[in-house]
Order: sequence, then structure tokens, then C-alpha cells
Amino acid sequence: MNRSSFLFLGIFAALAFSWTGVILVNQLSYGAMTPLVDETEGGAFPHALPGTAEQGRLVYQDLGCASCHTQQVRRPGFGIDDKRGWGTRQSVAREYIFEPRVLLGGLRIGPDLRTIGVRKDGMEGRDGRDWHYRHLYDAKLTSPGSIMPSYRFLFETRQIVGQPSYKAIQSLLPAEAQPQPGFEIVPTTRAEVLVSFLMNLKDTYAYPEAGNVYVAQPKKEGEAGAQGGHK
Amino acid sequence: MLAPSAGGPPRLSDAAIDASTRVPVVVFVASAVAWLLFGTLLAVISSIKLHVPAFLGDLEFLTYGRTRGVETTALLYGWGFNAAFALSLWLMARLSRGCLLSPVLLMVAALFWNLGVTIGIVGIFVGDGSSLEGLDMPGYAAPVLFLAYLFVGIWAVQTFQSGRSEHVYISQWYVLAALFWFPWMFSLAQIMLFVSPVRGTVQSLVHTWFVQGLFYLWFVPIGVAAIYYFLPKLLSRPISNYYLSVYGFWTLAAFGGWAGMSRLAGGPVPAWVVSVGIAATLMLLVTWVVAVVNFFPTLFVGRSGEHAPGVFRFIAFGAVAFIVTLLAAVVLSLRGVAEIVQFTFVYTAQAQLSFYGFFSMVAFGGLYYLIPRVLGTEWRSPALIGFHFWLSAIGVLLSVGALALAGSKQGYAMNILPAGQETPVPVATIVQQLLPYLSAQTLASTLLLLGHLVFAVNLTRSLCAAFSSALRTPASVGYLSPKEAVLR
Amino acid sequence: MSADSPSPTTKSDFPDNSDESIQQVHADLLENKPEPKEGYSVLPLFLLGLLSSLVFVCSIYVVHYRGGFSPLIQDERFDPKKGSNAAAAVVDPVATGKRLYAMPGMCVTCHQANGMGVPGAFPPLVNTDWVTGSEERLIRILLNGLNGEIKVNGATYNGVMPAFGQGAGGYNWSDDRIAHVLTYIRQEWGNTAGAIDPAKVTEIRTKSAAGRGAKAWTAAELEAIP
Repeated sequence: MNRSSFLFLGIFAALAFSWTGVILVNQLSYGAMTPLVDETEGGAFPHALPGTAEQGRLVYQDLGCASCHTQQVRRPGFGIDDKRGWGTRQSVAREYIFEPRVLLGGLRIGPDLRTIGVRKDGMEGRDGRDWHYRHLYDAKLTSPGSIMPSYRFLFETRQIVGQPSYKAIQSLLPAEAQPQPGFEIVPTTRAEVLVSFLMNLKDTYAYPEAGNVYVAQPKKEGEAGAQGGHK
Repeated sequence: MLAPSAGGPPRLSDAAIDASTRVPVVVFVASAVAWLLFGTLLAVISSIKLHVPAFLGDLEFLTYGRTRGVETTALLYGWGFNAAFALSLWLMARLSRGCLLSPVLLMVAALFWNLGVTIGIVGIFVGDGSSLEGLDMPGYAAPVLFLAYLFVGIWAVQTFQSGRSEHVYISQWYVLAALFWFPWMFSLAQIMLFVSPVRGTVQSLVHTWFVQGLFYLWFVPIGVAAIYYFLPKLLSRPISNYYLSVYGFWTLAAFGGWAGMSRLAGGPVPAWVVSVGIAATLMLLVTWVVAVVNFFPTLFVGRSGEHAPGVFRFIAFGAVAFIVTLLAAVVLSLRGVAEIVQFTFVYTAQAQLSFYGFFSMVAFGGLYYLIPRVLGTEWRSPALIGFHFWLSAIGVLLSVGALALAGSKQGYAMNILPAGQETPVPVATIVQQLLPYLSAQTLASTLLLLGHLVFAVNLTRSLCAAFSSALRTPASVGYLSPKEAVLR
Repeated sequence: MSADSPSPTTKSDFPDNSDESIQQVHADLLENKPEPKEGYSVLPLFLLGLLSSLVFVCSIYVVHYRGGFSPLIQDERFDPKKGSNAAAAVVDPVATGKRLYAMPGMCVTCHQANGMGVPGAFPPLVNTDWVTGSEERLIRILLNGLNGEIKVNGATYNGVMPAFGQGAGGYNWSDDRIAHVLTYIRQEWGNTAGAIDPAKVTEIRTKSAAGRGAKAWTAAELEAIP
């Protein structure tokens, strides 16, 4: 075998080595991961997102939200994600199996969004959506000091025809943002589906593998409830 | 080894070889610089948006998420790849001692590559971006890029097989390796993320493997190949302890593909992948030591004639930056450090140091060296080379420093709760404290933009001068002029 | 071969920086072995030492932090063989019990969402000693079912309560589920009795009422149990 063949073989083997180990092995080991069926809860977890939320994911992608927001909660003890209220447990691999594009993100200029759907305490339904609309219209309204850009272009100002729309959000906005009389500000479809997406980021199911966290054990007998309490 | 040249074929002069590379190199360099200007402009815009969020805020296509994607794509795939192609094809032609074959093939490659990058960037602007950092282009840009690369690949194989030099230099190994590795990584990433996406966080593994591979297995080999070639050229002395360079090559080859996986520490991926990634990054310390003993003594020990100090400064800066960035990569991969600096501007600083401080500076040096030889004329405004260097050097140092400081501050505030403090500092408050550093980074980006404008002006003037002198002396039109005769 | 250009053997012998002489260095490396010398050169020894120690350190690191090479383990310190060092999963028994109660075809079908049952057919679960009283009786009812007459809050019911426990030929619910749903009904609709421990359910099923299987209880038998 002459030198250049040896060189090519080595170069090929080098890449094959990392691809096999990093990608192939993992694809074989958990590339076909299925949801967990939990009869106690009466369902399979994770849930795929409803249709409007999936459309919202496309808006999230198109606007590049992942350049400032992550979607992964780190385990308690590795950073302080739990103390920030971003999640009581780490995000597990199984949570992401239904996502057409997994956007873990790489930079946190803004908070993590993995559990944003459960985070606004007591804000369900209309209250939750309203918070998100205000935040998208101008982040400083809900989060003073935020440098998140304004997504005003996701809303349209239009003339009120007949009845004012129930979707109108100008009541949430301060005086300087009010439209002229006879006009209302409504979210476009893109804003609506984006908010649906954000409100559906709420997987707090207690996956068994989320318990695979090392806990330093004091030497004690009878750790009641350490493994029990769930199937 | 290479196809032996039996019977003593004509030994080509450097000038003949350079002249044969003229058209493809000029096309690649011109496109590279155009993308560089565009990308740096977008970088300035994105940087301003961080501390002045309302800047150009009403235009949907200029929202931060999209400008960031366009900036990365234009700089990596527009400037980085075109410069890498220009450097590597010239290096290969020179080192294989053969005239460039199939220049038309390469011009078509350049055309398609730039078309692909343009399609990708337009796609991001209209909202089809993938939102995967480092791979922001929509999937439909990939086939065009593949077609371009196919032409480059065909050319590389042809050149290698028809090379007249019996010897191989380490730069050729690095260039060949990079040219081989990239299409495989890119095609696998495209298939497993766009064409037939894999399930769940295996996507994150593929994405991280590709983006980190872009650094360790494309830009590092090409940059290092250039350093190994230009240092002896400029200093008229060989690389010190050159015999160790093969160890550096093979350790980079073996571990470079794994090393980036440490970025996923704490993420929803198997822990063992991260551990192996950290171990692989540690193994790259061997590559680091080889780089240190090859480059430092060559740069600093002994005095011998420096050809073209203007060019030398770029290469030297790049070599030092390489050594710093590789060591930084090792330190940042450790879990204890990653816990603090993950998701902060420290990673942005590392990317800036590695892509700009190392690769781009080496590329500038290399281009400043090869363009006059390829064109057959000197630089029109040699004084501008000095301006470019200082603007770029100060710009990148300021940028890396500001981002590193911002990132450390951000990391400590975001990821550590000091004893006695109950509630963590809100994210918005932390970010407000970073604004001065981000403003410094905007200043740095502006300096870089000015440096690139200086380069572009110099290049344009030199191209025009070369073109007009070519027109004035019709005998020199074509690849070989009577003056650049084949030596016997 | 560029026989006419000098081959550099020392740093001072590198007068021209032509490509051939650059490549000559590589050729010398491959073709000419260096002159044998006294002693050893420090650098390759250092590199060899570095490589060996790195391989050693990295192997130990990977083995120690391998997390069982499992895709389900994201904490590198976690050893799956020592399962007991896992963090406890937090489960809310009342919330789970509520979902179980309301599952279609289950408890809610007969005992109704308000726990009042259907007069003459299914007994209420509200404010009755059968629910808030003895654990032993309540658990047995769910494990093996109840047939025959039963007097609840002054009214008599004569129905069939199916068996929910493991091995009773009915719904085969786990002990956890039985404990959760019982915990739920014992604190709902104004009831204020304590939670049921899954361990207690297991104990009754495997010890006290072992072998009972599909044989449903009668009210008389249950009343005999304290």
C-alpha cells in the first residue's frame, strides 16, 4: 500500500471514528426512542404539540428566537436553573422526540423557555396569552431592562369594522402605544400561533430517567420513598 | 507517494504556477472579500442591536435572530470558505509543483458556491432559516453548495494525481484532509437534520458535531496548513522541530471530531458523549504542544531576513491566536468551567478568537502574500496593509476581550448563587450590566469593518492595476507569458 | 528531484525559501534518519510522556464519568448499578388519584364526579366511615371487590364493586394506583382522612388478604375487620 493510500485511509478512518461514536452509536441506541406509556397518568409522554403550537414552532424558528433563548433546563446542581424557576428537573432526551427541529439554543441573553408555559404563575388561558402578547409587542412592558427587540411587526393596526375584535390587545398597552380612535391592534396569525407554541412548552411530567441524578447519600438505612412512589 | 515524475519533466517556476492559478484565485478572493464586507456589516448591525434593541427594529427582515444567522453564514461560508478555497488551491498548486489544472472547473465551482451562499442568505432573510447556529442556511441551499464542492473535489483529486513533486509537505496533508472531511460532514449533517431528520436530541448531537467539526476539521487544518507554509517562506528558515508535525496532524485527525461534544455538557444528551468529548479535547493538548514547539521557536528564535513584514505580522498573529484558542478550548471544555460559562458570551469570544483571530488573520496574511504573485503586480497601496493589520488586530483583541469579560460576568451572575443570597439576579438585570461590554464589542466590530474596507480598497486597486497592465501588454494575456517561461 | 537545491540540515543552511527546499525538510524526515547521537532528545520524550499520561488520565475520566454509557443518563456522576443514589421523583398522589378517579369507565361512572353515587344503585363516598375510617376495609374493597348488601349512611345498596387489585381477575391496577385513588377520595368532597401508603396496599394484598384473589368481600366480612 503506497503512502498516499495510507494517508487517505487514515483521514477517512479519523472521520469515520468520530461519526460512528458520536452519531451512529447514539442513533442506534436512542434514535428510535418512543413515548413513555403511563397508565397511572392515563397517557403517553411526551405529548406532541397541538397543530397551532407546531405552526408556532415554525415562527419561533423563522424569527431566530434560539439565538438568545435556550430550551434546555440543566439539572439542579449544575448551574442554578432550578433556583431561577426554570424547571424542577433537568430536561430529558425523551421530551424532544416529537420535535421536528430540536432547538436547544446556545446562548442565554434571555431566560430559558423550556417550561415557559407553566411559569407564569396563575396565568392561564387569556391571562397567559396576554402576557405573551405584551412581551412580544414590547418586552420592556413586562420585563424592565430587557433588551429583547420589539416584535411589533407581528401585530397589525387595523380599522375597527363593526364590533371591536375580542382579540384586540391595545387595552394591554400603555398610552403612548394606543392606536388612533377607530383603530385596534390585533395579533396576526403568526403572533397567535407563536404564543400557542410558547404556552405549550410545559412538559413537567416526572420521567423516571429524570431521577437518574446522583445524590450524595449519607450513610443511613431505610431510604423510604427513594425509589418508590412511582411505577 | 505522488505519481513520480520520471525522466525529469520541466521544472516549473513559481511564477508559472502562480500565473496558472490566476483566474480562479482572483474569483475566489474577490468573492471572499465581498462576503467579508457584507458579513462584517451585518455583524456591526447585530452588535448594535444588542445594546440598542430599537435599532432598525421595525424591519422584520432585520430582526436580530435573522441578522445573526446571516452574519454567521456570510462570514463562515462566504468569506471563510472562499478564502480557504483560494489559499488551498494555491498551496496545492505550489506544493505539488504543477500548473493548475481545470481552471474553468474551479470558476464554475466558485460561481455555484457563491450562488448557494446567496440562496441561503436570502432564505434566512425571508424566514426560512434553520435557526441552528453555524448551519443557519435553509436546506434548499445545500444542493447548490454540493455541486460547487463536487467541482472543487474533482479538481483536488486531479491535482493530487498529476502532481510533479515527489515530496509531500505537511500543509498538503492538512489541506487534503480538510477537503476530504468537509463534504462528508456537511452531507451527513444535511441528511440527518434536513432531509430525513433524526429523532429528538440526536439532532443536537449531529448539529454540534458538524459545527465543531467545521472548526476543528476544516478551518483549523487549512489555517495551520497556511502557517506551516508561510512561516518558512517568510522567514527563510524551516519550521523548528518540524518532524513533530505529523503527530499534531494525526492527533487532530483522531480527536478533532470528538472534541466539540463537550459543548453539550448538562444537556439532554447521554452523559458519556460529553465525557468522551472532554477527554478528546484534553488529548488535543498533544496537538497544542506540537503547535507550540513548531511555531513559537520559528517565530521568535533567531534573527533572519523577514520577507514582507506586513504579511508576516498577520501570520504571526494568527499562529499565536491559534495557540491561545486551542488552549482556551481545552479549559472551556472542563465541566466545572462549562457550568459557569455555558450559554454566555465566553463561547462567542472563543468563536471570535478562533475564526477571526486565528483563521481570518492567517487568511489575510496568506492572501496578501499570494495575490501579488498571482497577479504579477505588487500591491497598489502597501501602506494600507499596515492599516489593515492594526485595525484588525486591535479590533479582534478588543472584541475577544470585551466578550470574554461580558461572558464571565454573565456566567457568574447567571449560574452561581452566592451564599446568603436567596433569589438569583433576574436575567434582564444581568444583561443591563453587560451593555458597556457589548458597546465595546460594537466598536471592535466597526474597527474590523474599517480594516476590511481598507483591504477591499487595496484589492480593488491592485486588481484594476493588474487588469489594465494586462491590457496594455497583450503578450502577457493568458496564463504563461514569454517572460514567465518554463525553466529547464 | 531537485538535486541542485541544497538540502538544509541546520537552521543556517536554509538560504532560499523555495518550495522545494521547504518540502526537502519533509523528505529528509522520511528518507534520512538523523545521525545517531549520544543521549536522547528531550522533546519527543516529553511528547511521548504527555501522550501516555493524557491517554491514562482520559481513560480514567471516561470510565469514571461514563454514566453507564446509557442514553437515559445525563448526569455523569450517576451510576446505574447503584440505583439507590437516584433523586426521588416527585409524584403528587392526589393529582394522580384525581385523574384515575375520572378515567372513563372507572370510578366516576358509578360513584359520580361529586362522589354522591346513584341512590339505590351505587353508594356515596362522601362523609362515610367506609371511606374515611379504617384503611384495612377500604383497601380490601378495592383489591378484591365487594358483593352483596352494604349499608352506607343509612341507605342500603346491593351492587357489584369490581376488583381492582393485582391478581384479582379485574382491572389489575398497581398498588401505587390503588393507594393514589384512595388518597384522593379520602380528602375530596369534604372528607378529611389521611393518605394511603402504597406499601400498606402491598402488605394487605400479599399478606393479610393473600390468596383472596377474585373472591369479592361481603360487608359482613369487612365489618369483622378492625
